[in-house]
Amino acid sequence: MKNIMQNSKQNSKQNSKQNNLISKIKQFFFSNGWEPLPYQVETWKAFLNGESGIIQVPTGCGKTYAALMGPLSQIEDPKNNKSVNILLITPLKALSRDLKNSIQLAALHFNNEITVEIRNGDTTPYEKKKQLAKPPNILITTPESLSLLLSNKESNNLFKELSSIIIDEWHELMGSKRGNQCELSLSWLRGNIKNLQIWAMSATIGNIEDAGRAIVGMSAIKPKIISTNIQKEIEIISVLPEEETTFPWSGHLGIRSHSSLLKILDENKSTLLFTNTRNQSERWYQCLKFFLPEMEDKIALHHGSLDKEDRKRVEEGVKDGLIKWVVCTSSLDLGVDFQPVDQIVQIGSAKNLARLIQRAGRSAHRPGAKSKIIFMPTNSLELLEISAMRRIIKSGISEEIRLPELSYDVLLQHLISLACGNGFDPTIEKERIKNCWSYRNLKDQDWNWCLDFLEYGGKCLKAYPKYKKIVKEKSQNNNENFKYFVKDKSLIRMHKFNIGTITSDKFVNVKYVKGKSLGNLEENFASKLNPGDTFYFAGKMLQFVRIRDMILYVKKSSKRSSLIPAWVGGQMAISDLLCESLRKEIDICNELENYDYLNPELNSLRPILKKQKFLSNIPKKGEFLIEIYKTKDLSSLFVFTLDGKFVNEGIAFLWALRLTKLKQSTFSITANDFGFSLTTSEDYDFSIIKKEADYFLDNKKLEEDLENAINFSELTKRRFKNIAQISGLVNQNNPTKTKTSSQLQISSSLFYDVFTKYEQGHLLIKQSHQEVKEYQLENKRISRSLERLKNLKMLLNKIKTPTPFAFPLLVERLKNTLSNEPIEKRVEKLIKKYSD
Amino acid sequence: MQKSSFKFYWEDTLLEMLPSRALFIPQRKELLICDIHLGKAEYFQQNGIPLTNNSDENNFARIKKIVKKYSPEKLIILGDLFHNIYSIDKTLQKKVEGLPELLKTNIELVLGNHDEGCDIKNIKVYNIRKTKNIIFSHEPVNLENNKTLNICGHYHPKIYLKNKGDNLSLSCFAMDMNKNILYLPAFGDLTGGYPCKKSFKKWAVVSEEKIIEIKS
Repeated sequence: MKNIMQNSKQNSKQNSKQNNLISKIKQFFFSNGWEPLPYQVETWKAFLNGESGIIQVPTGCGKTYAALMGPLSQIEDPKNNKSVNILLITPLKALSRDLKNSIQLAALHFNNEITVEIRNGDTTPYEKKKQLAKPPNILITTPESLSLLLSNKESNNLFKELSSIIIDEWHELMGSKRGNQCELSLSWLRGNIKNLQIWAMSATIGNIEDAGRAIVGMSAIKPKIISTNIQKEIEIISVLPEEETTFPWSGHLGIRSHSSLLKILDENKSTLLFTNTRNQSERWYQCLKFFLPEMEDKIALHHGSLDKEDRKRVEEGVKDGLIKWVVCTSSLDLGVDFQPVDQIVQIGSAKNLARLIQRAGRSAHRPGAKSKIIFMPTNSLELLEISAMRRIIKSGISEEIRLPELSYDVLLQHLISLACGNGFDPTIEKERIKNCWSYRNLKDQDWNWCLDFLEYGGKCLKAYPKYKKIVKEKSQNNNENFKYFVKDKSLIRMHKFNIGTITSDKFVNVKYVKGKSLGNLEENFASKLNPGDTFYFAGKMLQFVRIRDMILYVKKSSKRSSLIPAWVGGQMAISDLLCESLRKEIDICNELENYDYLNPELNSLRPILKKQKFLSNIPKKGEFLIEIYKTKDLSSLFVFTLDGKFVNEGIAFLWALRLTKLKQSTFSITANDFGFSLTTSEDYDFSIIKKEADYFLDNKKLEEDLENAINFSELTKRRFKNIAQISGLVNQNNPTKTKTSSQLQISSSLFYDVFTKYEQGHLLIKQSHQEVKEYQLENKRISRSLERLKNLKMLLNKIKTPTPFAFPLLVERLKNTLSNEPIEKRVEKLIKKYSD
Repeated sequence: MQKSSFKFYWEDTLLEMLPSRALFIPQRKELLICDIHLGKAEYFQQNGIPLTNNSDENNFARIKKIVKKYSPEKLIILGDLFHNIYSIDKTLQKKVEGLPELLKTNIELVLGNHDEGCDIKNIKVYNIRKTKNIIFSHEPVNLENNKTLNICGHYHPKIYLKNKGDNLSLSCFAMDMNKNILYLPAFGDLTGGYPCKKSFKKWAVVSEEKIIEIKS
């Protein structure tokens, strides 16, 4: 009895303390003239109860203060703390500065001695050193910089009194291997520090439970999920073609119809124009400057390959109101609160709803406000996507974001990081890692392979004593235990330089001969330039002078050129949800004439759809469409599954393989969200598809056939390129030794060949196959798609002119090939055009 | 047309380009190869990159095979026999030094940038080797007159073939017609390559048996 009494006394004491803290937080809100939202209060309470969790609310609803105020209110005696108290992880460097400002504002309310600092790639070595000696109370960092910190011996001290971690925009990290990197770093922090509270902030997603689980780990109690019913209204306005005939049938730039866009934009409003690629942003920037010469100083360009200083200047220019319009890529997707932005333009399909909503959200950064986005289609079929998106928004369903699973490359990188820092005990570390959501299915045998790979370089290398990356070191007080360390200083240096999961082709720095840096270009593009060539980059016409030590020297040029570098970027496919709606949309298109509901997009598509119907068919609900088109030297097959780019690519590979099984040949494959095409340079009878429909749609041999198709293609090699970089096989660049490091450069495809030839069961090769199957070809979705197609009626049309549906596929440049012909025969065909 | 070799005359000297990525000069009984990069895997291993090293064995076997087939009096290596002189261990050194004996032929090495400072017995070493009308070097040299041909390595030339239905990249022999420089393909197994200028004339290596002239 006495005990219970005491307990309740303690409880009430705790409660009153909690209430005190909450009213103190509220005070901060009131003093700024804000009213706390119910979900914010709920989050503070949950935090003060000791819980971890995830907050799911639309952008611009005060997430930061929801997650931050709890931890902030608990910092006591900030001046004498010898460790970081709150760690904030954000996906973008650009977000850090704004975060710091809003955190500082709140920190002042509690204690003016609380220190807030940023640590990322832009932080100077001097500051970094200072942070280790005198840790700030709150540290804002990126997943990459956090990973780097773990490779530092000081990391134990830096975090020893850490009490909470906040992850900003978690949904953004989750979609890629950066999410894995973050999970692994969290697992180490959770393992080293007791009673850590972890909170993530996310946009609204369909699989919020998994998202929450991923941040707290498998063994923790269920994370709290906090969501709101704040609904953001979105208004989408599509820029429709003025004349039916002038509208481009395909392409991905949309520049031809710029005049329709310019008509509805206001020159005096602050505007973000989002494009999907850097190349596209350069082109649009060039176009706008040309057609609006009077706006020259008020338009700017912003993408990830531009020089840091230039980007900063643009960001600040917008804040000060000097720059009105910014043509940008996803580099400005999140945060960078230049509020208010008055107009948002999306050029080309956003591919998924979450991105569209997020971008639209930039136009109304206040809870409850209506956001508005202007959509500029780059090909007419994208209007169908928008039409479908409207319907989804109406229905209120949200998409899922999937976290990659069992990424061995990221795991290897993490282990090397730990070995560079405080070392790791394999028994302890294994448990921590298996506690991560995306490594929960890690097998012991694969874990051992990873250790072997790091210690001996894999099976084959055991006999080569010179190889050692990590070495065992017995602990001083107990001879049984040991830890792994990286001992070689130059290996540590190289590893630290290469940390990260965003991989890319090798870059060269672009500089004026006089010295100013402009940004980065892919080496591949640079290698094709000859002295005197001009190209358009960073919004400027440049002339190539010379290339030396990975620096491309240029000077300004007045010569015009249409050459614009392309950067290889992550491809995007439309989401599952969108596919389904898109099919409904197409079905509706069949009946446009007697349909009462017509949105502006569908209405403007009428003439195009009419032409499609005239030349071929528009597939109805129970049908799927195939078209065959032949020219003098090419035969093409077009299949419209409406199942998203990656699934289409998968089925394309599958069918190509099944065709080559019947008759030896070579096919080139292109795919988009609507369908795919197979092309061959011989006279091919594709009508076999209809005769042997069961064979082509067969699901039983799917796994086996796909595996074979993958072997015949270059897909895995391309995947392996990233894996090799992340796992440290291929080194990006080493700033200290530009020249000598060239002796350590070898293409990932050579690694691929050597490993496949000499080392069976190499886990990284296995991973590349797995990634192709799961993320690129998505075999589960392919299987579902085949099942669906089986039940549809196949319409097979031989067409004399390419149809509107087929045209975008026809003009897409060659991407993939699948061949089982001997190389001699392929060469014979290839050089026909040279020898004729 | 794919052939098992391509021949052309430089003045009165016959040069034969072989699909085994070697060049044969029948009159002089000289066989030329370049850029073998022995010890590349070990160099990577030393630097913490686990590259498997079965390629050297393969390189030796291929050298043996062509020497047997053409029985040259001299095997001339146009540079980059080794990848890095610090990765030459004793076994590799012995193996290379035993090659002339094993192959029963003389071996000469025109030093490449990767061979700098190497010390190998039984192999005659040059910086550049000049003959009447041909200069052998690793990197291309400036020629004094247009009667001289420069044969060199260093660039690992490749060609990218492409049409609407297919694409491939292949090692090739490349000839700069304006400067009279013939670039040989890299012989080594573990070597990549770089595309070369459009204006060069090229012969692509299709397989170990086939080579093809590319008309541009």
